[in-house]
Amino acid sequence: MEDVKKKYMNEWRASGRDTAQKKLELRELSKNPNPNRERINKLQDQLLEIKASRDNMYNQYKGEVSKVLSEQQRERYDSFTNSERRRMVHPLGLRGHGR
Amino acid sequence: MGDKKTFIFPSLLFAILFLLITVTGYFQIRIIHRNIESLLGSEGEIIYNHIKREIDLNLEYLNLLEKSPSIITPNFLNIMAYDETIIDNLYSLFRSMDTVDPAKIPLSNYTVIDREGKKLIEKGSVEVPQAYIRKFQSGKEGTFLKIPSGNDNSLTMGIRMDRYVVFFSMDEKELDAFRKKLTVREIVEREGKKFNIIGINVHDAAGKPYIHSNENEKGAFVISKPLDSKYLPGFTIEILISKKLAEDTVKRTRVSFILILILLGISGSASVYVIFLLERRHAKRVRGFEKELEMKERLVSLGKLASGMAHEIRNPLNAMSISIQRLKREFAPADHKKDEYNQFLDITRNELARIDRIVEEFLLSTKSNVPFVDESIYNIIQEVVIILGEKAASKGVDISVRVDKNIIIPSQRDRLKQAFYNIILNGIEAVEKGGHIEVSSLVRDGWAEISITDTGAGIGEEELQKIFDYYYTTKDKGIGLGLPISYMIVKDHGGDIKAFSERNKGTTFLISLPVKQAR
Repeated sequence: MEDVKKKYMNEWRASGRDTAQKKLELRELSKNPNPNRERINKLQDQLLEIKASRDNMYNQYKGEVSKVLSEQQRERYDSFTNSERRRMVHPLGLRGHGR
Repeated sequence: MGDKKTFIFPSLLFAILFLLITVTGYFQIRIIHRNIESLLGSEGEIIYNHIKREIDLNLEYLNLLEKSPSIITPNFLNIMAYDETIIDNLYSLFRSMDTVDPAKIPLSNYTVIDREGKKLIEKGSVEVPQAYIRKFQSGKEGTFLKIPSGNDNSLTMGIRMDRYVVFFSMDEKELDAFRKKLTVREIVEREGKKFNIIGINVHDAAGKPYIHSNENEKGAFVISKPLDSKYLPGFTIEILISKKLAEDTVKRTRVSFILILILLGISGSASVYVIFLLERRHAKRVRGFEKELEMKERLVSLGKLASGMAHEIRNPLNAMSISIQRLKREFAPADHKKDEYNQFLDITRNELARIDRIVEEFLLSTKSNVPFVDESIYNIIQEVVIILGEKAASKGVDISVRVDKNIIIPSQRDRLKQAFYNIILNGIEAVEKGGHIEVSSLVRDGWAEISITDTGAGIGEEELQKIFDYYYTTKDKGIGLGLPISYMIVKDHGGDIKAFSERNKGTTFLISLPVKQAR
């Protein structure tokens, strides 16, 4: 499991560096967009591709990790990621007194 | 004094009740306010716990950024991308400045050089390869970026502006502080939106603003607590919850309560006033009854006196009358004094007749035990008008009778006749020559209302109050018995008399009597 994690972490870090570089370049080009239209479009496509690639990588990672984990560990992992996602979207279902 | 008591007691009672309701309402509103604040406090506590957990969890991820947690989650990947945001933010910061303002730059190591390579500003130390500087100067390169990789966890960046170039460098510690702050800011902004609260402020251990999402606006409910996080020791957090709804609720309750108090005040004052009026009317009626009773008592006394004296007076009166007749007939002087002699005898005889009339009236007024018989009111009035016709005619007064012939009332005929006699006579004496008296009737709700209206000079308001009093008269030759006797007779018939008068227009007596039947 550690090997799997290491492989993906390196890729995620590399894609992060790549994204930062490309975003910076995009912002520079956006100062004068008309002559750089072609390059801007290309960079935007590449950023989208990187994002999609990151999502795919996570799904692949999750698949590979799930194979290594026991049934119980897998359930706990799924449960944790689900609760993390829910928490990010719906915080405890407060009714909002005082507003 | 009675009026004052009537007013003071209900007013006092009402004032005490009003005060009690006001005090109770005041405390109820305070309780509502306290309960709402307690509710807001509970909500703030929940938000605080949630945010604290989020901060701890995310900073834990941040701590694991280099060595990575045992299992990767989407949130961890999100935090990994924070360096991109930091770069983006710093780029935006420098781009937004026309000239570099050191006060606005949150970095420890940066340098600003002009196009000739001359250092304009330098803070800390930044090591920039000369080759990069030359590229910048030549305009070949717009930005320079070295992000953490491998063992080098520092971040170096260069941005070419219009007139100068900025280079900055962040070591692992400074970058970590940026990541931490960004993590907390993301949480504060995200959770603030999710909970729909005014804002969340975080202060560092020195009490300086760390993340300030909103001012402590007026009307906000503030929960201030230590963050109690091992990653941010000594930090405090302020959660600002809007009190708008709570204050609206309290305001509405307060307005409703004030309206109730106003309504209560108006209705209470009106009730006290009504009680006061009713009590005054009641007191007036009681005074009326007392006056009536007094009149009755006096009449009874007079009646006893009259009945006792009547026979005693009438006998000598008869003897005197017969004697006067004989004196006039048999002993009249033959000389020039005969006319004067007869004149004195006539005066004496008239005065004797007057005394006889007074005695007769007394006797009639006191005979309240005479049996009642059903009688047409028209017949009684008509008889009176015939008796008084000559007197009216001699004075040039016209009497018209428009009384319903079908009204039957249970009556003591002679007494009631006496009552009408006195009132109509009073009218004849009140009007000038050419005047008019009208007698009319109306049946309403089982009562016959006989109205006797004259066109005399009228009676003043003060005099009107006294006309039914014994011995009250405004006439030179009056004895003040006619109207009080009429009053008592009508009362003995279960009826009532009211007098209405207007100066120079005339007077109306309204006599109400219970009707036996109206055929």
